[in-house]
Order: sequence, then structure tokens, then C-alpha cells
Amino acid sequence: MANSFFGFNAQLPSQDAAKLTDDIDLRLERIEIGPETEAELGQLDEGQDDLNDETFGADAGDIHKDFDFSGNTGKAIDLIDPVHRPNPSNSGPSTTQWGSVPAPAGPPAFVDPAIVSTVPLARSHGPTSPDNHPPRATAPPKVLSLEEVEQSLIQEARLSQADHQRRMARDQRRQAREARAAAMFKYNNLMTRYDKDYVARIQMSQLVTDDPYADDFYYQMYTVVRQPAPSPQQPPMLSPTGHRQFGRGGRFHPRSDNGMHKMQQQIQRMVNDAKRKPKGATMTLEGALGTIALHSVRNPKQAIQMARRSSQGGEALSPQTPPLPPPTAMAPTRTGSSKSVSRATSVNRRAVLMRVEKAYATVLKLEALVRRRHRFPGMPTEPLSEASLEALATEEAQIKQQLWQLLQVDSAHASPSPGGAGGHPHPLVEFLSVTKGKKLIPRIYQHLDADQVLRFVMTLVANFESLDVCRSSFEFGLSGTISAAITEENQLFMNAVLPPMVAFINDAPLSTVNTLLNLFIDRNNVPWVARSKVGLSLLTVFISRGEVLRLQDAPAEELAGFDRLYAKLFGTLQSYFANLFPTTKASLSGDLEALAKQSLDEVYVWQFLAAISIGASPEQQHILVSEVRDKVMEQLTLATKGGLTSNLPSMLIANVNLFLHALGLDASQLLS
Amino acid sequence: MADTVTAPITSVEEPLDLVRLCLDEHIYVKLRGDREVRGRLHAFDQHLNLVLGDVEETITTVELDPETKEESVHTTNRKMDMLFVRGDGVILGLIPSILYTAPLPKKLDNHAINLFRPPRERYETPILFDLSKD
Amino acid sequence: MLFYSFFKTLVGQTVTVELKNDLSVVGTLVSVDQFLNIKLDNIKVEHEDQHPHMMSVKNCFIRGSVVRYVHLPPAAIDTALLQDAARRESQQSTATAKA
Repeated sequence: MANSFFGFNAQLPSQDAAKLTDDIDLRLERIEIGPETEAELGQLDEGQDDLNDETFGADAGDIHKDFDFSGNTGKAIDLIDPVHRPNPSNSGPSTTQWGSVPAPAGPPAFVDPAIVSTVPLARSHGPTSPDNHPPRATAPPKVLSLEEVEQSLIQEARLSQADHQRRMARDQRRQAREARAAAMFKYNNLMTRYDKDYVARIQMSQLVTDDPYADDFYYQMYTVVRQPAPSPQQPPMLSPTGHRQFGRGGRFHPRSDNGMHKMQQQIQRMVNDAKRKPKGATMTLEGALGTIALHSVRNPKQAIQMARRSSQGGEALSPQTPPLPPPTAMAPTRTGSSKSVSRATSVNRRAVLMRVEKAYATVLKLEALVRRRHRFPGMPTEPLSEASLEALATEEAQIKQQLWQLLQVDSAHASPSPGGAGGHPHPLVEFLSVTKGKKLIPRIYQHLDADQVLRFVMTLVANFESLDVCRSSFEFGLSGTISAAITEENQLFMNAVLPPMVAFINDAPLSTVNTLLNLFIDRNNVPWVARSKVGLSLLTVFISRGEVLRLQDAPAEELAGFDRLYAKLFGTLQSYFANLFPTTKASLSGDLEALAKQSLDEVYVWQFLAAISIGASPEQQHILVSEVRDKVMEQLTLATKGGLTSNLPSMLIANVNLFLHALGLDASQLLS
Repeated sequence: MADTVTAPITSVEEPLDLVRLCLDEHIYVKLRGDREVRGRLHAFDQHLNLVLGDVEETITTVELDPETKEESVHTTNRKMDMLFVRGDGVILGLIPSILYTAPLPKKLDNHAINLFRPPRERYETPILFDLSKD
Repeated sequence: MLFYSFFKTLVGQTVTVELKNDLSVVGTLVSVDQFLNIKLDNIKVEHEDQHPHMMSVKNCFIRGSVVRYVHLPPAAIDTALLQDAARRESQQSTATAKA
């Protein structure tokens, strides 16, 4: 570079150089402005400048003087050829003349190379440049030879060139950064401190959810649920999920059949009462059962007679082949019904599952709400205000309503017509056809009000025969086996759906029991439903509740109604009593131990027989005894001669005694 | 609300909604390494990590007899009470009895539903999810 | 977070971790993290003869991604609660996906 050759700016700090360049540019502008302005001023149409006086505060005629640079440019105008004025680069002479102009002006950058040398000179004399020259910049020529200086200067020039590029890049970055900052700064102070706090509060409130278990639900709940023991003052509402009441471990088995257990105890009590009472029944029984000689404790011979009668056939314990439970007239219809129901269920299965899942979501929502309201451990501890409690209560009521509607108990859907063709099961029945639907019932049930509970129980009673657990017993009747899955469903129904119903019936007045029993007999194929464990258990509950209320002086009118229903039920089941036992078809020739265990599961049938015996007239007792006599003997034979281990025999006998005691008899009479 | 009941509950919005329907149901899952498991679904997440109960696992191995050059297929069965299955091994989940409208089949395998590429034409009710759609 | 939450309740239980390379490790679950990496203590390798190099190892850290199965003790699991947790999780993820 030519400039650096002179050694003046070789080590010029880059900033200074930039400043210098800027200065030069500035001066050039000024220089250019001078002649141009003068030229144009010379051509001004002064007639249009009426307001110039106001604007400039002077006569428009003197206007060129305001723009004069110390009067020198005014002189220059006369010297410069008007043609060349606009383009000073072509005016070599004038340029040289300008160089002598005392005004702080350098030559234009585009002057011819001959006078380029004036630029550094101009710089050195310019108002800004001298101070910026580092003193040592001028020193080297005194010490070094010209070649050396030249060499180093060239090198430095290269360096400074690279330095310049770096500087440019850095400047660009800085500018970009500043531009970005400026873009942001223009929003500065848009929000007041108050506004910011307000937004922060909103964000915080979003972080603090109603449900602190949101992300860690399982762990939090699990720790709460599996705590050693709930403190006694802890209200039961605090149970995190309704299903807890079915015991720990998420299994429904332990403690689960509370309701059923209570019912069994009740029957046991009633049977004991019946046994203890030296009621006249013994007398009437003597006459009624005289033919089968069961009447006397002191008549072992007759008991042996019974046993002989069994062994007479030689095959008393061989497979029996009684007719299928449903009356032949009913059987085909029911088969058709069962099949169509099965198909309909599979068609709707996905919709049902979706409804059940919706119900789960609703229950979860409800339970979260309940946890909030009842200060479940782990919830924020500050007390809820009146207003928010009220809001929660409103929300809770709304969700409960949603839940109730999801059950579709009030659906106008008719139960399958007797023909059953094409009939869909009631939505509630569909709901209960899936495992998780059954499991959800206890959790829904506790949120129902009294009226809803009544409607729930009535709907279920009216549609009982279309329940999958009833169908399964029919399939068993056909195939003689029952799959593990169906057993599980049965167990689940017994543990989850039946207990709430039992609890309801056990608190109901006789009028309600009558209504329900009437509905059950009317709307269902009773012999068929009675073959299922759930169906027979429900009947047991009805009857035993009726008998309990009889002892508690129920109104005579209602009692008469109950007696009529009892007679109707008995009449319907007559000739099917023996077939209530699922193992009726079983053979005694196989694995006796297994058979005994299977028989033990039939305790519910013995319970039913006991319950129905209590209110039975002598004639009815006679019928009962003659129908199930073979079964009694089979069980007793199995118990005594089956070579069974442990306490199986005594348990079998205890089962049979449930029934015999209700009649005022005991297995020992038959065994002696 | 009333609309929760009146609204038709027939559409499944996302694949995972479908899996949710299978909670507490028996499902069949095909895994990498010629494994398949059947069991009751207790938990799942978006990676298809699973917890299954009462699980039966079947491993299929094909052995080539070096002399006769005949391939023989062997299956090994295992039963496990409770199993966590890591989702990255899951190839597809077969969900019996939910997605088709025909009566329940005897063999579930014929009604396998590929979670990732649903064979739509095979079912009367369209399967309303598709991973390619976003 | 469901499975992280789930595994946290199993800390202290004996589990069997089956890896994708068919190695099965029985041990006490010490800790688990959100990637389902697993720390086991008092470990024992099934079929030790096939993995002699593991015989002296007493505890281990297992990267979550190499796990195929974890066999769990059923008594330590509340399946009903677990299903509820899965329902909540799936609904939460659906809700955030829509938001």
C-alpha cells in the first residue's frame, strides 16, 4: 500500500485508522457539498421562496451567504469552470488550488494518483490525526536501514491488513449483536413489575396442580395404601380408591366376600334357630317325611334303609343323568337367546370397553376430588376456603352425575324379550360383562345416592339372566366343565357386584324385598338363573331377608305378599332342586379328592336349600327332601368312604348339615 | 354431562387409547427374538413398556438338522406371575375381541391386529388410528 | 414417569432382570432412575456356569436399554392401583399432546 510506505500509519491502531477514514470521508462530503450547493443556489428560482424570510430569518437574496464556507467557496465559484463544477475529479487545476485552501479539507479520494501523497500529509495535519500517531511510529527510520524498514513495513502492512479483516468481522458480529439487543430492548419496560409478578403467579399456579400425585401417582398412592395400618380416626373416605375396601394387594380375595359372609352367617343363625326351636314342625315333619323315614333320631334302621336304598341301585354314586335345568320348552329359546346375546356382546365389546374406560376416568377424577376435599395425606395443607369447598362440591356433584349416566341404568333398553332374537343386553349388563366393569362397581357404588342404588339394584335384578355369569353356568350345563376364566368372572361378580346388592337387600323393608323378588321371578328364567352361583346366591339373600323380617314382625299384608312370592318361586324351582348342584353330572369313580373339593364349592347350594327349607310347608319340605336325597347320600358317602384326607369329610358333612339342620335333622342320623 | 353419554363412543383417537381399552384384559404381544407373550395387561406407557400378569411366554426356535437339512421348529414355554416387558422389544400387540365385529374366534392368531400397520380391510369397523397420519 | 414411579415401590424387593443377551440376574433392587436403569445388590446370575465372569460380581448397574424383562414379585404389586396409574398417565399424555 502506498500510504504505509511512508511509515506514518504502519502501526496505527486500527481504531484510529477507522476514525481517520471516517474523517476523510466526512471532509470529502463537505467538499463536495460546497460546489454543488453553490451551483444549485445559483440557479434557484427565487420567486417561489415567499416563506424564506420566515425560514431563514434573512433576506432570501443573501441566502448563498449562509452556506458559504468562510467566504472562500464563494471566491472559488468564480475560479471553477461551471461545466466542470459538478465533477471535481476532472478539474485537476482546481484540486491543486483546493489543496491550498485553509479550510480543513483533504483532497477527494478520487483525485488522480499524482496527488495521492497528499492524503497522509493531510492526515498528519488534520485535527484528529496527530495525537493518534504513536510516537515510535516515526522512530524506526532513524535506526534501521531503508530496506529493513521497508521490509518490516510491508510485513506490518500485511499484518495490519489481516488485522483489519478480523476487525471487520468482529465489528460485524458486534453490530449484529447490538442489533439483536436493540430489537429486544425496544420491548423494555413494556411490563411493569406488577405485571411480571402477576404472570409469575399464574405460572406458579399452573405448576402447583390440584393433584400432587400427577407424575408419581403409583408410588405416592402405593406408599399411602401400604402403610402399616390406618389410624382409627381416619375416616374411611380417605381410602384412596374405592377398591381398597376389597383388601390390600389389589386382589379381591381377602376379606372380599364380606357381604356374602354376613349372609352365610345369617343363614347359619336362622338354621340354628330352626334347629333349636322344638317347633311343631317336627311333628308335622314326622308325618310328611314318614315315608322316607328320616323323622326319628332313635330310628337308625330307617336311616340304614335310606343307605340301603342308595346301595340298592349299586350305582348310586355313578354318574347321574338328570335333565338339563331349563325346561325343555324353554331350552331352545334360551339357547337362541344366549347365542344372540353373545354375538351382540362381541359386536359392542369395544364400545363397552370404551364406556367402562370412560367410567374409570370419571371415577379417578372423582376420587382425586374427594382426596382434595378430605385432605388426603400429601395434599397442600392450607385450609380450603368456603367458596372453593363449595366449588368442589358442585364439581363433585357434576362428576357423580356423569358417572351415573355412564352406567346407563336408566336406559330405556328393554331386557331381552322371551324370544331373545336380536335383543341387546341392557347397557348395565354390558358394562358388567367385562372384568374391569365388574371391578369398578364398588367404587361407583359408594358415590350413588339411595335412589340411584335402588334403581341400580332393580335394573340388575330385572336383567339378571342376561349377565355373563349366568350364561357361563348354562355353558357349564352343556359341557360339564367350567373354564378358569369363567370361574374368575364368577368369583369377581360374587366379590364385587353382589355384596353391594346384598347390603342393600339386607337393609330393605319387606315391601322392597317383595318388589325385587317379584321382578326377579317375573323377568328371568328362574330355574336357569338359579343354576348359576350368582343367581342362586341372590335368591338365597331374598329368601333369608324375608324370613328375617318375618321374625321381626313385618306387616301381615307384606308377609302375605312374600309368602305368595315364596310359593311361586318354590313352584318354579320344583323338580330342579337336585340340578342346582353343578357337580350333579360328575362321576364318583374318578379322583375323589378333587371331586370332594369341587363339592365343597357347592356350599352356596346347601345354603339356598337351608334358606328355602326354613319357610317351607311340610309338603314343600317333603318335596325338597325327596329331590335332593340322592345328593345328600352321595355327599355323605363321599365323606365317609371316599378315603379323603384332612378335614374334607367334616367339611362335606357340615355342608349337608346346613340343609339337614334347617329341617331339624342331622347327618349323624343318616350315617349311623 | 349429558354429552358424555349422548356422544357416540365409537372412535378411538390414538393407538394408545386402544391400548388403554385393553387394561385388565388378556392380550397377546409379539416381541423381538421370536418371542411372544400372553397375559393380562396391568400397565403400559407411550414406549409400550408393559406390565403383564399371569404371563405365558413362547419362544420359537428353528433348528436345522446338519445331516438331513431339515428344519424343525421348537417352542419353549415359560410361565411367569408378573412381568415387566421393556417397550423396545415389542413388535406388535394383538388385542383379542375388541377390534373386530365378528363373533369371537376360536383362535386369536387369525385376528391379530398389527398395532403399527392395521390391516383395515379385514375389519368391518375401521381401526381409527394410523401412525403415518399426524 | 409411570414405570419410574412403579419401580420405586419395588426397591428392596428381589427381582430377576433378564437382559437382551439372555443373561438373567437375580438381585435386590437398590434403585432405579427415569431411564429405568437399574441397580441391583447381592446379585446372582442364572446359569452361572455359562457366565463364569459374573461369578465374583456382587452388585451391578444395568443400563435400562439392555433389559428385556424384569420378573417381579406379584405380592408387591397392587394391580388395581397400577391400572389406575396407567389410565391417568395415558390421559395425561393425551391431554398434553392435544394442548
